[in-house]
Amino acid sequence: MLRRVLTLGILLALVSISLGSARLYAQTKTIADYDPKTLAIVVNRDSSDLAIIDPATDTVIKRVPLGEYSNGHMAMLNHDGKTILISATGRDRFLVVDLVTGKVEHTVVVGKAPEHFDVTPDGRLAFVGNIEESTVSMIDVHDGREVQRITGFFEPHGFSALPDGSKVYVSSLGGHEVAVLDAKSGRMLKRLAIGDVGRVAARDPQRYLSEVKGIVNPTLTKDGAFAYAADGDAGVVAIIDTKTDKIVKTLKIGEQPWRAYNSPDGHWMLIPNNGDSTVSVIDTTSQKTVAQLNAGSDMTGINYALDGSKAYVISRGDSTVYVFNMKTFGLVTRLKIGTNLALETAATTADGTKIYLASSTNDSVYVIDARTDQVKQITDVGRYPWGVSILASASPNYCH
Amino acid sequence: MCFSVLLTLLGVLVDGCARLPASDPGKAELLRQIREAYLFDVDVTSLELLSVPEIVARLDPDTHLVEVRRRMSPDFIRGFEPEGSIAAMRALGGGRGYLRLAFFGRRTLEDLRKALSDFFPPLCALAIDLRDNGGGNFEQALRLAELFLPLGAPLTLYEDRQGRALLYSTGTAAPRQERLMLLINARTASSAELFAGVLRWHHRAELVGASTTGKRTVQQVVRLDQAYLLFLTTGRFLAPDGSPFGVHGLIPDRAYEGDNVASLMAPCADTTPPGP
Repeated sequence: MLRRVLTLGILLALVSISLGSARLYAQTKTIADYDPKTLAIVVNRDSSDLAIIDPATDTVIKRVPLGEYSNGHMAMLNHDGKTILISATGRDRFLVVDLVTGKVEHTVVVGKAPEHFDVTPDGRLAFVGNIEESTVSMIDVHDGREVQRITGFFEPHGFSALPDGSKVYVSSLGGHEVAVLDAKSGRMLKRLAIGDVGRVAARDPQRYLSEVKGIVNPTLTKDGAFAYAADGDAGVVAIIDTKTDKIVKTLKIGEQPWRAYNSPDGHWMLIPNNGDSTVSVIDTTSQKTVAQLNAGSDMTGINYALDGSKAYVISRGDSTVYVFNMKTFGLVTRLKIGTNLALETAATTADGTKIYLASSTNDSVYVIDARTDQVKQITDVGRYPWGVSILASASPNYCH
Repeated sequence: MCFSVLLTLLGVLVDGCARLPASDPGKAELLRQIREAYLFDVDVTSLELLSVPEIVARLDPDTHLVEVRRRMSPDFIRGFEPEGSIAAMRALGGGRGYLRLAFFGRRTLEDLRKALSDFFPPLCALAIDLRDNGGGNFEQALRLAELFLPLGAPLTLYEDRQGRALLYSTGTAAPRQERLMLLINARTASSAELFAGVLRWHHRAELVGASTTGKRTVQQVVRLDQAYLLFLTTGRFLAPDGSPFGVHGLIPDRAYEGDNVASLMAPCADTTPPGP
């Protein structure tokens, strides 16, 4: 009997020691212990900070302050996974932050209201759109300086650097153009006019028609051979050959298209049309529209999951995510996330099994399990989370 | 006296030099558009020394410069604001419905379809109120007319710098069958007149109210520079037979002032809706 009690006591002691060391390990685990490529980085606009989520546990493992009133708009890890690049819209700055220490390494003064950007594949140069002054800042990320400020845009909104790093495509939201920049010199090589803007017959055009809904983003095909540029006013998507920088095809799609989202296998481009609440499906091989799916209102993005077999269409207007089967193009389910939420953009994990979706007005990130379509809420990630990025994302969804 | 004349001349010269076009991309774009797309013939070289507003002032009265609205509130999701072209809708009883169309925007066709599907039971008579509708999107006006006309019906004869082209209905769905009454007034203009004019030309709608504005030109929207959009007259629309949709605007079939729309339309129980 005594022996049994002693054995049990020893076992309990061992368990307790092992639990204690696990706790100790959890306490001492730092960002450096995680694979940076898997981390979900959330940019919080109103609390001017970042929240870093570990997808293994769905917990916020770190908050990174960016400075008062910096109001970050877009954040992404640089390709080496060591620094986070952030457009600090509120302070007209571009920040380079060390992921592990959370310290701001470089603060670069840029133009008015920097929002979206892309980085060359070598991680050296960032091209940032200063949307309120219609310029693009070309930034040397390593040195932390603005190399030059390029003019000739109308509210530059979307950026895509070619995989070979030779050129950067910039779309103007306040115009109907895509500009092609030489990535080394920053020189503007070409301005491509997209679509034929609407004709109007109005007695007082000032009253209704002084806004331009141009091009949100030039989305590259996986091999970078083509860029798809959807124009909101024209209701078309132009396909640009990136070798010749010529428009090879213009497809009429739905009303007021947002932007194209490329599937992980590169076979499809999905384009939400907010004017008629549909999603256009384009086969990138034939460059033809093959289906038009009915979805929700005010769509802010599309994420693919499970090797591209499912597409998740985020409807801000309906506080709902519409899930489509990408083989049949049938609606799998509607995930009603809540009521009167403002669903923003999302990122899919590297293995394609989960989607992290920012919901600004309730300071939350929703996690969608793509295998079960169950939704989990992570609360208090920061004030007004605006977008999520994962470096190794199977389906990144550019900020908006 | 001579000196003052000389000074004035010098001032004009200096002023003229200060407005040379070379460094103004917006002006260069404006001149290019006038050369390539402007509906009317104009001597472009005579405009080269003028400023952008001065050039626009010398063109037809429907060509405008419009300041681009700022839309940079950080809380604004670009492009997502509702247009609200359907300002009012209600059932009038007896199978009759009423819609007020405030303007023709990008989503008007979709908005109208949705609004019509919201009426239950389905309507057999519809009043579309175009009073104070100043027009808007040209294509939307044609698409709306197609809703009520069969495939292949001629819509309008469109004239631009390249010549004249007859535009036909390309709608694929069967035309809607509701009996139509369109309310018009002196502030019904442009695309609204096109919509009303096409439907009347096909005897598909009765026009009720007062004569319309009589603006029949079409403008192309061009981003001129960071501050301005140019609405340049590039075309005009006529009835399919080449006649204008009313010489000085559309004249109503029945004069009317007021808001008792129900009194203008007989309930459907006594009326057979017209065929296509």
